[in-house]
Amino acid sequence: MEKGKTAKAPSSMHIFLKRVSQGPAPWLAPLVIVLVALFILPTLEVIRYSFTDASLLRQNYNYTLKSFRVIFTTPATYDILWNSLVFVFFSVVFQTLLGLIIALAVDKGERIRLHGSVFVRVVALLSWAIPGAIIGVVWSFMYTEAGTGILITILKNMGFENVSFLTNPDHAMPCTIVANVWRGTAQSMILTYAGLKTIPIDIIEASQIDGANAFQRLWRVILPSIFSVISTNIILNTINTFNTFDMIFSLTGGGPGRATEVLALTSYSTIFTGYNLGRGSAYAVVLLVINSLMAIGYFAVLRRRERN
Amino acid sequence: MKKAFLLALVFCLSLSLFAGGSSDKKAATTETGEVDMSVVYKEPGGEFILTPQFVGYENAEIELSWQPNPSQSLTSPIQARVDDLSMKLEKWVKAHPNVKINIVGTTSNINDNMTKLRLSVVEGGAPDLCAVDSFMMPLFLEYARDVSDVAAEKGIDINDYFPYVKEQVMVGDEMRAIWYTTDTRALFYRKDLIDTPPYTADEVIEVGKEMAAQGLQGFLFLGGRGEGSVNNLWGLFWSQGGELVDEEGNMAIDKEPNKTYLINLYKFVKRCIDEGVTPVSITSFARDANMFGDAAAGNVAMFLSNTSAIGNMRELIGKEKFNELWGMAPTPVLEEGLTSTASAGGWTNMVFSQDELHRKLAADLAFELYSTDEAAYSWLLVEGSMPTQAHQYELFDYISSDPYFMKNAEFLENGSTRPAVEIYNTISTEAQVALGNVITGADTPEHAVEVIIENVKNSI
Repeated sequence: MEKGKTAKAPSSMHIFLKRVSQGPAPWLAPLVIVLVALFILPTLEVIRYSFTDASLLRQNYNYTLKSFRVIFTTPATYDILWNSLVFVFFSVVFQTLLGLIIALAVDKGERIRLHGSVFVRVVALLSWAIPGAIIGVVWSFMYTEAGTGILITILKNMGFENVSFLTNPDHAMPCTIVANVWRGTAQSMILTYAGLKTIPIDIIEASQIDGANAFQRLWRVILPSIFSVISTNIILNTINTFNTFDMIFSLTGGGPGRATEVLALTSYSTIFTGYNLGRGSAYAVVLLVINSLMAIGYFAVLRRRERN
Repeated sequence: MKKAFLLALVFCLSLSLFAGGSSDKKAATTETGEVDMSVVYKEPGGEFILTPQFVGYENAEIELSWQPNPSQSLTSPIQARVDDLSMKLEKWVKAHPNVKINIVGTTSNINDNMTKLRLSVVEGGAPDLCAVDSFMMPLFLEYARDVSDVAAEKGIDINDYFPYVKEQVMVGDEMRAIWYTTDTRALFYRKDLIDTPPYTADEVIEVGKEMAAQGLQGFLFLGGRGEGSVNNLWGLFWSQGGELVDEEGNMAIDKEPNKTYLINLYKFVKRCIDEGVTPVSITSFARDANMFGDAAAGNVAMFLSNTSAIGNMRELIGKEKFNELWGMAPTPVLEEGLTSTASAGGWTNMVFSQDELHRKLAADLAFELYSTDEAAYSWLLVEGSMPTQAHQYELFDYISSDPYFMKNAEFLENGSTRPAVEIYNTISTEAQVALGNVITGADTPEHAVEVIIENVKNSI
């Protein structure tokens, strides 16, 4: 300090700014701003609209619980909810299982330096890169029941007559699930594959030396090692599948009747076809609640697992 | 110093945000209060550019925004349409060199586009000129500008439009929309197999059974989830005298006789399935094009479709073969003595610009692209659709010499349009669900109609 000059005491604002700049706030600020602007605010807007009778055709609206009352007193809502649950449950089960099988096959192929392992991985990923609406159109060609249909022609040549796919309400949902499993398996595969790559080879070799057979190695060593990956995969698949509407929109439009109508599709068509912003938002909020419960369940399971 | 520099920089950037808009000229008026059009003809300099997003001279001072229907724009996958529009746009811009056109692109999801457009129209941010689905057009009327002065300048007589067109585009003396293409629904039948096309429901079943006995699909129509499915069938409801909504725009199908008329329609659908005239697989048909493949392959005896089938089927099997094999008859009626009617649709142009100069220019552009005799002649030829002005049926040689198009004009005289009220879309969605349930046997016609009414009531 120079002689004759007295040190000026830092102002409280200066101290506050210094503390803030040394803390995590500057690092978190960009993320927080993006999250609030692009995610939190739109979500809050949807929740707000769900408590209104807003229409895309009118500027004025009132706050009301009518949208939720109508949703829960309309019998069709329970059909749609049931469809959503069936669609999600079977899609997730088969996506996860098939993803695991393909990932194990690709991983094994790579370990034994089998030619074509990378090719298989790339091909499996292709379905992930195709937009849902296109997948719907592609599968609608597959399921065409006219003479030009691909599957119908194969089945006819195999001796099966009078086969129906999307035109039978009992078959339409399983057919839609098959298309969605085809679409979502790639994501499961790549996540599981990444998980498999984290398992040290020594552990698997040690279990082999201990005499564990292939199934025991899978059940006792591999699956527990990638539990967190598989559970992340399941929750992502569940949320993605609950939110799926593009593929169904172009595949069946929700029909025949309401046989394949799911919550996300109802929300979309209520807003964009029926112009009912309030009710469409209420459907979206119901979907949000379901997805949030799923996520909470997932974190609870993961935390318990970590504690153990 | 550093702080001052930063402040200056922020100030300049803020200014640039406000100054970053266009140098677009607004209407200049003459002493008599008329729009001074001379600014439009000023040579702006710069290169002439024609792309799917922009047409005009780089330095033109007046910006016109145009949101076309994607399939009727420079992004259409059909080259003939692109060529026709490119030629007209170049001609128009060169005649108005100080005007450049920004083309607003949209997806091909019409419902989505129209909903978004409605929002921007209400908020005052819509493009100057927009293509609007004729079905949705009445919902935009209160915001659209009058174009009758430009129509008069172009020699267009509003009384020459079909009655259903005139009824909808006029608000008092003001012409608020330019309806430029239209279509309707008709029964297409194999004239080499069927001498006299069926007119009543009983006749459709009778002829359909005969055809089914020959191994053909007797009678196809759309049964999937989609507006087209019910829109093609509404004619059978309307021809009985049925009304979907009342004058106030409230649901009318819960009241007699409309309810019975709707049940009659579903009973006819059920009969077609039960008698083996129509396959259940129609529940996967949500678009007219879904029927064309089988029809072109020779597996179908009759189908109910939008009249765009004429152009589409001709593309698939050739004009000569189509003319030789396929006849076109009015949409059937459910009982003898009724007059056939069908839903008429198409596209309109609407001007939303608040500025007088832009209003005139946008309307002029709309007429010159699709609606004047010269423009309509080439456009309807490449699109294969129908004119909305009666005199053009006689004037256009390719239409007057084509019996299918001339029949179309007859059908359009009795054309009907769907009610453009908020509740219609809910009725339509529920009617589509009911249609699928009746076709698959999941519901009876009577109960299906009860469910429609209940669900629509619940939604109000």
